[in-house]
Amino acid sequence: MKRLMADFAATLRSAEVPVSTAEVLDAARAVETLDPLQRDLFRITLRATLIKSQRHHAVFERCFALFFDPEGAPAVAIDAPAQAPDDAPPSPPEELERRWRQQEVLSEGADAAEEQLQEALREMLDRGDPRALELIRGLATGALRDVPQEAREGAFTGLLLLGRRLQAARAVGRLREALRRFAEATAAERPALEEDAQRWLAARERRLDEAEALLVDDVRARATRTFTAAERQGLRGRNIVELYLRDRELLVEVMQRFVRKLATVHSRRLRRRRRGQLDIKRTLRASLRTGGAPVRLEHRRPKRRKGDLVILCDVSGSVRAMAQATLAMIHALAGLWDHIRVFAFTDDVEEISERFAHHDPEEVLRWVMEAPLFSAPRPSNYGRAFRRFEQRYGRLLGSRTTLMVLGDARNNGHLTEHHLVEGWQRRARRVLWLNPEPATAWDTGDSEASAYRPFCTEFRACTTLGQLEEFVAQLR
Amino acid sequence: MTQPDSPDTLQRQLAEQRYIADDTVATVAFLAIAMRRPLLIEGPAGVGKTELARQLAAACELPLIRLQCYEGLDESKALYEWAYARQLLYIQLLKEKVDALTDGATGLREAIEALARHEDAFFSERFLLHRPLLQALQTPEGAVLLIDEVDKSDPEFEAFLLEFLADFAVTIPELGTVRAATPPVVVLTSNDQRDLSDALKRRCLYLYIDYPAPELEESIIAARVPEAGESLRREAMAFIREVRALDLRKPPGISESIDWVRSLGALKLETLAGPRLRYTLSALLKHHGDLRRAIDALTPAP
Repeated sequence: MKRLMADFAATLRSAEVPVSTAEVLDAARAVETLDPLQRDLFRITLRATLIKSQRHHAVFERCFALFFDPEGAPAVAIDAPAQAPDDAPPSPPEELERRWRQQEVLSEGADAAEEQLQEALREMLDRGDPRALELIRGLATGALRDVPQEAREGAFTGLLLLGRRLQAARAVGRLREALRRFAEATAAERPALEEDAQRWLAARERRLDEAEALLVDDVRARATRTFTAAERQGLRGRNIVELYLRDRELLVEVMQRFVRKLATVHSRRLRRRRRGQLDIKRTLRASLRTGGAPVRLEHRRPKRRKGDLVILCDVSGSVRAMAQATLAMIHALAGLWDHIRVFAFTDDVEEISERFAHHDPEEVLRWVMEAPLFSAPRPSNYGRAFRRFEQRYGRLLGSRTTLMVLGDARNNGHLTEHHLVEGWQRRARRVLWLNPEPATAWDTGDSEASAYRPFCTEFRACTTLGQLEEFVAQLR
Repeated sequence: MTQPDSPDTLQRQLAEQRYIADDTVATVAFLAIAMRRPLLIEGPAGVGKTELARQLAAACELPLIRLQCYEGLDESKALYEWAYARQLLYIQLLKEKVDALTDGATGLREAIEALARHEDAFFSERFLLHRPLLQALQTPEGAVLLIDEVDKSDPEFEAFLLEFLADFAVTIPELGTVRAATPPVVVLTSNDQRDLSDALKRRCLYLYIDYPAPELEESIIAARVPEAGESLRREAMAFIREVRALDLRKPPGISESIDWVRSLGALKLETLAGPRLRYTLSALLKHHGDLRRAIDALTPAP
């Protein structure tokens, strides 16, 4: 039993769920207290002993299904393609077909079995043959049919099986990549792709989806999305806007990590200096209990001098992504300020603080990343927006207020009204400006970076995740 | 104490006490009792985390000892403290005896030595204030120890708990080590305000209680508020679902639902259709903005 538990724990760890040896022993002990033949009891027991955060529950469920349910998972829809004759690829333009055959599929580090899988997948892709699908399933799971019954009970089967499926999933991934490159090349050559060629591509895409569903893509896509140190480093260099457009899910995931980390670090920072000056009054009062001897010294709790934060973010076009990422991070640090007011602007200003303040962090993140921040998107007009802000909310800026502007200062040729920013800097504690464009792009085209820059306490580029993280981490 | 012999038994016992636990809750709670592992319960406010501890104590026929955590909670509030005032009082009252002890002594050093021989009398159980953690160790038949909202305590206290939970023993310098005769059943609850340390989590069984599924919630309400009629209950459940679908700051949890259905009963309402509905909602929603929103969206104008 311990062996089985250890193997299962290894699977969980490979999915980035932290599981300690003590927990594995616990799990083994717990399972012995119960009747392990009751499936649900068994599952609940393992979950309670091995998983210590609700965030990992979903991954656990998937791993559990894979590990202890080798037959269960892939039996989904073996004859899916046969079921849906409409999906059969429309007689494709011959030229596309021919060129696709020449398209190389990379298979670094794949062994013979994996290449075989990959070929089979491609076969299916090309012909839409239901038998091909069956072959894949056989390869992914059926290789184990010959294993004697007793051995199959063991965990080894489970692991082996998992390995096979991951291989198959990887093969699907490679094919998808190949198809994508193929589609891109085709599109580059022929900007206006004929309708049936588009259908041809779409049908192939769909088949890959089917294969993937069959091969438990979830494990690959989510559970094993592990970032090595190098990758993490790479992520920090990634451009926020590009990530936002290309792979929003990844961005949200990375942000979640950053935000969690920030929240923890920040709470530590606040705790570190909890003791203040000696409080004579309270010490004397406490000394009464000990007959007048000041045995226990009472300290004053230092008053936290927090300020207010006002955020003005340009939500037009490409600034949006940066604004969203920044808002998500600021939210994690909400405790640093007494009040936070958030305003979105394009050519007018709208307050969005209420939404920002209300939800729990994970939800704000989701809201910030996905909801439209502004009711009517229009091209930005900094001058007008600043004027409106000054009229309506100018009184918010006082000596304790930090004003943060998120914007690329691309003003579409309108009046800059930079004297307003000058006034803000005088009144507010400081004015910070984050520009999603790298410094080299400032003042090119309609960018008015230089008009505003002299009046900001800090005016910096915030293009990559790393820069954003750095900025937020030193904010207080 | 009576220890349940299977999750099913525990589930039945809890049901008799009108606490409806689903399979997960019953199984994990059973394991916590059987293995004497601390049980860490997380979940949104008002889903019955604290209540579960209370009901477990009742089911096992053990006393419930509760420790409410807050920022700044320290060992003297959680574990033990010397009763200084009492010690001083005794010294005052027994002044003569103290004088007698040091009577024959010549010189300060000798007097101190004479007194020190009797130090034990002042640092004995008699002058010890037992705080919840110590109480839990010293209850001979065992106890259910509820450490509520552990996420509100400081990291230092968490580290201290770690030691306590590892071997259910506490060392008091003047008295020696106090070891639990029967290890208590420990239940920790957290609202996920911050992540607890991995070390603490590792020592616990983990249970996440979410908002209950509609059927479960209905049976919970039926069990807790039997005086509400079936039709009213149905209507109320449908209404609560509508409320939760609104965009709220704090959607009502199960304990708010129970309160609210109770308040309907107290007002002797037979149906939700009347104009009184809007005045009852403050039992369900605890934020002004939420209340406004629900009243605007879901109740008829007065």
